[in-house]
Amino acid sequence: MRGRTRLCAAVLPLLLAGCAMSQLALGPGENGEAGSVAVLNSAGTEIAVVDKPGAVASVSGSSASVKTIDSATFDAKYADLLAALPPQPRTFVLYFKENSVEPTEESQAMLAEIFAEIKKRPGADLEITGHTDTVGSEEVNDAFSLRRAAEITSYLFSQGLDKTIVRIAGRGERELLEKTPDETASATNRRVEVIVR
Amino acid sequence: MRALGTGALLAVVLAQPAWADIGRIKLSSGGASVERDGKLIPVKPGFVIETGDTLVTGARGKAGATFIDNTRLSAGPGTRLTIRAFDYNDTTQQGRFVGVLKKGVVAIISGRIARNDPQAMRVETPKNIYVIRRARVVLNVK
Repeated sequence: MRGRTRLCAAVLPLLLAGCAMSQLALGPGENGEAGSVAVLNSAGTEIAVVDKPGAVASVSGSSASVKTIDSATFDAKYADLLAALPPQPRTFVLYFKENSVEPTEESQAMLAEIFAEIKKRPGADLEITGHTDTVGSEEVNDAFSLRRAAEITSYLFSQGLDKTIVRIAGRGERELLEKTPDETASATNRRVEVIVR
Repeated sequence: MRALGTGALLAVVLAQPAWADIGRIKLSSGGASVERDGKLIPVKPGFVIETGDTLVTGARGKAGATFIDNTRLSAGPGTRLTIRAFDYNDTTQQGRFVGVLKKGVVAIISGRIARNDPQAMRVETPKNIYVIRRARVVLNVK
């Protein structure tokens, strides 16, 4: 396999279009997790799995050769490209006053921070996602979480949020902040997340 | 707003242009465009990406984008990357992301689509297919 890869590299200047080699470098994970990538040939057959941070796979068709670089080399080698990656989205968690569509005082105080975050990010967009606790059926909670997101969204619109950058969603009871059994009331889980991208 | 029923409230909120987009350009410099319906459109931050778009950078160009599932990518000089398929369910956060990298170099930090289904995110190159599972990668085609 190595030999074929080398041959490909040797004839590369002559047959640039026909060679079509590709190379994959697996970086250290953003949150400490390594991650992995499966490499398939064009027929869809798996020829390699790359799962070591710093692994660099040079691939053409069914041949792959893998070497390893350290994370400092990875960062230096791809510095310009990595610098062009947008920043990690930032999440704000908002809660409602009891029996009200208005955010709590603490959550209202967060609004200025949300608007400041939007200003910091060129081309920012928002995801506003509602969540419920586990009281009630999945269907009811899906609808209810979407309503909760819509309420915060209309509130943010009233505060001057640009309507063209918002996407809303209801996650129902799928993403509990506080892990609870089914049919358990939880003020922690009844929330809206505003994600600024 | 209390007086509005759920249906009316959702109608107000959902009637937003952002509903159709799959991602947005966050950075561009040195010559970056999107090819759509045969036309080349220069991009700047805030540009809305749609399924089928091809991100094209010039010899000194680069661009960065974030998708609605939080996938982030950047493209270096001399790149052609087509978003061939993008499906995403906001409620389940599952979907499918198929990119085609014809030439150039991209960095990708996978998002929810890859996190929730290890088979769902792939990038095709002229001779190979990469299935990306929760990873930060650099991929180039020579």
